[in-house]
Amino acid sequence: MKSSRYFPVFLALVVTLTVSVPAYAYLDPGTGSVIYQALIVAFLAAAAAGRFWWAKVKGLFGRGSSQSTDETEVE
Amino acid sequence: MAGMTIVASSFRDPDGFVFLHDGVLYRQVNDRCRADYTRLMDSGLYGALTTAGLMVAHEDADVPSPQPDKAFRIIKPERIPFISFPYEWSFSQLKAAARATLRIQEIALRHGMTLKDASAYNIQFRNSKPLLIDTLSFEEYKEGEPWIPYRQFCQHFLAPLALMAFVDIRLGLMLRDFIDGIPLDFASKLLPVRSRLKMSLLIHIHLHARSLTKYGDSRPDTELAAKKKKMSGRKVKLQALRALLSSLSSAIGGLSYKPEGTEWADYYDNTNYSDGAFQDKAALVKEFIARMAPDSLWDFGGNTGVFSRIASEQGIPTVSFDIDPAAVEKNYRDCVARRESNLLPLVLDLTNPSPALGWQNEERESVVQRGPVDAAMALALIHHLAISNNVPLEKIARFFASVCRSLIIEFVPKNDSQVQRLLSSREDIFPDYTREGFERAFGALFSIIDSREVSGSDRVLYLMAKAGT
Repeated sequence: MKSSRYFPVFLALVVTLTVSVPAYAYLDPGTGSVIYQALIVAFLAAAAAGRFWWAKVKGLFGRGSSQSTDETEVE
Repeated sequence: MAGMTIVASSFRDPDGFVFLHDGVLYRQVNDRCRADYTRLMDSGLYGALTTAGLMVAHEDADVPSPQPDKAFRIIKPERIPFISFPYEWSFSQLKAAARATLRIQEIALRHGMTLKDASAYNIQFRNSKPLLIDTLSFEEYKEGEPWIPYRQFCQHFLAPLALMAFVDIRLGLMLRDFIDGIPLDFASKLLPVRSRLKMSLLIHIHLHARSLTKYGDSRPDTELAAKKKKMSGRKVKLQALRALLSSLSSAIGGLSYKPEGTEWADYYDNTNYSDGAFQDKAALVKEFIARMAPDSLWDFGGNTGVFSRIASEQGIPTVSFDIDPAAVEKNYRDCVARRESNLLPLVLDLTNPSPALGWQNEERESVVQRGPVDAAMALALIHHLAISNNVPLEKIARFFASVCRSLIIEFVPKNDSQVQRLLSSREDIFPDYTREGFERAFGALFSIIDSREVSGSDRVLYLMAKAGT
């Protein structure tokens, strides 16, 4: 995972600092965790979209994104 | 309620519980879980997960309930041969369990459901693969809801894996102290600064921990409480939830561990056994196992599982315990690579074995409580217990008598080069450590059925049965 890839979307995190959701499950999710989750998903979704469009752009110029970050797994 | 016991670990979830009836394991589905259970079965999720080998299958059962007023249904899940706990798993076992949990969550979302908890204790290993054993872990997914077990997933899986990968493999044992996973602020403190350069760990551990601390203040009527209230009601869209799961999956996938360099992981490269002696020992072990024909076997000091496989390859459910996480890691990787059945490698320090843990010390059973097993094996182990750890032979015999009905055990005499190595740096305070002393100690609790010298060495392999069985 490259940190630089996330830089533009990190800005999205900064401007989305207003969130949380009520917790009503049998498991206490932790207030801080729920607030935090609602914050970071915006960032992560933007990062995912960024990756998707970046792959498209690279595709346009004939540079297929065959690179995979996932290692061969023991599972 | 004759013959019925509610399993002590299943008290948290109000949706049901597990109980034993005449030694058979059942799960009660409580009436409050009727809708979710019906959705699990009717949505195709149950079929998808059991077909993929990700969840334990079950059938409806017709037995009396210990709490009939709450019962909607009673089911009989397939029995898992041996229940193990995350602090006994190697790195790759914990990682496989984490990935299975995320995959289950993704499949659940496709069927309109979500995991309501992500406890590592809900995962068990069968035939070298992780599977979910808690059939009642699902509830209806409502668009906009956050993933409730996010923190639990990070505590149970990501934090210990990161600590094992970045700091020391032995930190997996911390799960013994923290039964609900490693607190994220603690993990954040222990991890090196360079872990913050990894975006996934920065997000899911370091910043996550800071947020938990910041919003952990539960006093009402404060500015923070007002802010928290204001923030409530924000939705997490499905697409965003998927991005979270994908990010967690990358975080887990990006952690690795190379098992090498420890004394035991390289054991068979450094042992003084000649090929002939090794083959002879293997043949003797095979013969003794065949004579016992056990229905299950625990191999203590199993290292990378070379001798454990003599049992597991004959279809005997076998647990291969070893103190060294690198050896257990190698063993598990071999199990996966060869798609092996019947073998479960686990980390266990026999001088301080997994204790009973949790509420009233009843939630997680000790190793001894999970026995007795039909047969145990202790090859090239006794000198480590008796000499390295100063355990008298009588106490060693008593331990084995408490965990097994029959025993294959190797006596390694003082003149053996491995024992000489152990004695080279200390005074010999073990006058009773002789073959006669060994037979006296074990003969008090076991009948010695056979004993054979391992050719090319002075070691002796014994076959014993617990007296009175």
